[in-house]
Amino acid sequence: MASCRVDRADQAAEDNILVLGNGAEPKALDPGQVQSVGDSNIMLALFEGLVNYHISDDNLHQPGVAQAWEANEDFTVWKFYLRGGDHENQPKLAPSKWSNGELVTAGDFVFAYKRTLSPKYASPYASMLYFLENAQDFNEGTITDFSEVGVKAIDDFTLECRLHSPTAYFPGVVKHQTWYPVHPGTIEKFGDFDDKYTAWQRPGNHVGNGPFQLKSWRINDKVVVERNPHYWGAADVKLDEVWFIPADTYTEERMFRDGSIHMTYVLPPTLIDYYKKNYPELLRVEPYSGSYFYRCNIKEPPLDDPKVRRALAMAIDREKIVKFVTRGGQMPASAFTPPIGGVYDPPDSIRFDPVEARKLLAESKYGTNLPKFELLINTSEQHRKIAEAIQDMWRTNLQLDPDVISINNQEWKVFQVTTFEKKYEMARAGWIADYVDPTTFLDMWRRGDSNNNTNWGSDQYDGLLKKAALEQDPEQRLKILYQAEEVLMEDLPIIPIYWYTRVYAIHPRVKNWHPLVLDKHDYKQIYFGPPN
Amino acid sequence: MARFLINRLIQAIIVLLCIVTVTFFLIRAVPGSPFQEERAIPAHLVAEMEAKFGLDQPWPVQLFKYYGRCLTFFHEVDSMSNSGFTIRELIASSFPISFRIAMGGLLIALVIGLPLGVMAAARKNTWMDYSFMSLALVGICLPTLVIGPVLSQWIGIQLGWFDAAGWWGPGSWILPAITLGMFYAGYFARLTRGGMLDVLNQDFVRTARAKGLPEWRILVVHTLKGGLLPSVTFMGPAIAGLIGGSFVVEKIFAVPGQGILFLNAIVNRDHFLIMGCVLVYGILILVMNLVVDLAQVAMNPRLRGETQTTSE
Repeated sequence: MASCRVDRADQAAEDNILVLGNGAEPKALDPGQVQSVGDSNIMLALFEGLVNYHISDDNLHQPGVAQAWEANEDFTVWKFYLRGGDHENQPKLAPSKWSNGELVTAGDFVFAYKRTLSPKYASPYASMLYFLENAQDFNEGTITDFSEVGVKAIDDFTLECRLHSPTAYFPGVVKHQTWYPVHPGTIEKFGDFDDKYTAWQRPGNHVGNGPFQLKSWRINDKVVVERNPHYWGAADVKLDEVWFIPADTYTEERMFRDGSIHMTYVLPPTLIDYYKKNYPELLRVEPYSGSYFYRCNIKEPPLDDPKVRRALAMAIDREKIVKFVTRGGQMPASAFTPPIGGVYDPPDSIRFDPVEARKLLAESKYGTNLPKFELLINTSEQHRKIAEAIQDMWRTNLQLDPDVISINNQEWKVFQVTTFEKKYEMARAGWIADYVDPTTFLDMWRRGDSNNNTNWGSDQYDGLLKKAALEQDPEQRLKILYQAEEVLMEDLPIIPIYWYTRVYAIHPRVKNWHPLVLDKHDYKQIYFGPPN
Repeated sequence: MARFLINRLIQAIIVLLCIVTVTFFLIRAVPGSPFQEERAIPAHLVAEMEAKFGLDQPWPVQLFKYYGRCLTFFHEVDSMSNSGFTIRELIASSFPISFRIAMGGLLIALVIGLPLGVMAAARKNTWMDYSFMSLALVGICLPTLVIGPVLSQWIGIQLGWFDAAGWWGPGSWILPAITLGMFYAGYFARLTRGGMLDVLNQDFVRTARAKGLPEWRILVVHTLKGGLLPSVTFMGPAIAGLIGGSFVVEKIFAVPGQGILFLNAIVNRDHFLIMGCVLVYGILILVMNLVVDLAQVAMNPRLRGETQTTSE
């Protein structure tokens, strides 16, 4: 990081400004519309939900707008006690306030949920609120009276959520940005309550309740958030500003070495070895709750035969993939759901066994004359490298003709259409957790789920998920989910490849930035250490 | 002259109409929805959004609405990416940035390209000519995709002279401008050499030499104006290309300009923003071509005569 100019990152640290590479340009600064990981990072600065992410442990819950919460015996009714209220046996705390100085009330949460679930608002993440009783029906227009949905403001500072099934891990769910409140007055000033694409998200109009408020947003340049003076914990917020910079992965890495940003969003795999050798102290490789896998369209030959799918799954040497191709410390996947520390260990269902794989293939209805099929990837250098390595392993380990498996790539949006319309044979995919529970991975494989897209469905699997949802004992519930995953891994409509890691570079002065499997960091607690 | 301008204006309107119409159908022919993302969005929600932007209407209705939007230059038309910004605002904030870099690139291209071309012509078939023209060829052949990261690494990170990437201040403009300029510098050098050689072979130059005029005077005073004509002709497409073709450079250097805006619009299938960007580029090329025509008329007396004839 040699330079004859003043190191901008050092100067920014002196000015108490955290400058972050943040992936793609944000598409929205509206919690109900945000989908991407980068956008949700900005949400974490601008808003605060009922419960906050813990600075160093994904399984712990920090009070947010709610100072306390409790559930009934079967975890179907949750009450959240908001800051500023007179709650029995609880201290009266300073209220949570919007960045315009107004109080955050339970009604603001109800307003936000009604908005997110409104069909006209078309929230891409509305399904996160389906935990609430009747929420799905309201979102799909089956019912139109929102009072039937399981959320109610008992008073200004008490919020009640009625869930459709027992959810002991609910406080972890409400940390997600879809559960953030919005300021009704601001939303309605720029349109109907359920209008999207309005100007309320712009600097000067935007109102949030987080530790920071929106200062500026120049498209493709940066989003700048500054300290929110009305935030209840403003005195403890350590940074003055956070800058979110959208940039290509290689570009942001050069910005980092040029001393312009404190952290990269990711680090390209081709540079990991370079960093290990030259800047090991700046490199971070941390577990990340995500799964990289291939979807099989089980109606398309030869993937309609479970034995073929299992043979393919067993013929992949995942150790080699993570060691020589991805090189970012990823874990070879033995199932779909990654291990969730202290919560869930997935079954050890898939192992590399070429002999058994060949045997299974010979037993399949196609025998060794496997019909040709295509592996579809979205255009990316990295996906192609992985696909080519796997293609080679299949050819070698299953002794297939070279032209049996072909690789085709499509541009991202075209790829999405092809996958949703199930016009593929095998397709690459990735899935990142929204909260710390196996259901964030397993729910999508229900029959007919909009993210399933494999034509696979199993009554046994759906039954087990339903049984788990009704189970009140958390440990027993996890056992049932484990069984469900075993069913999924028995049929293998998907071929798991590896579990993600987060690989990035970080400036040595950034403190309190801990490894988190959900990668949700509480910016108000981040600070700069002294220069070296 | 007035008729010449009116003719060109009518031509421009027809060309723009064709551009808008073709783009309208091309956008529709491309698979992918602006409203669909990795996590599947239920069909009823996609339908809601399509209705909001009028994408559910019959295509002739949509097309005529597009014409209307283009006439008002996308005033009050929202981007489909849900940022709350209008198309006009997005273009207004990013176009000046691309323009600034393009002008920097043009300046660099001219400052390097023209003298190289003139000197190569003056020392035709010498080592100077060969080395300058080889250099020009390198500039043309090396893609910005290669030059950009190399300059960013070498001048930005290792030497630390300018910002390696990002948009932080005037120090951030230099490397993108050099990257853009190097390609066009090669073109200008070769065109100038060709133009100068044409003029240097003419009789009046031989006469000037016979009369004992110093070589520098022949070059600068008598031949430069004529020799630069091919470069002037190329200036129009070059400026349009510098602004419109800068998306690779903008991506490499994280410049928040028009190129990256256009690229993201395509990636996101933001129909209105794509159309807005195409319209800007279309107008830009037409205006630049007109300016070049006028400049040529001003520089070349023979053309001036032709324009007058047509306008009489």
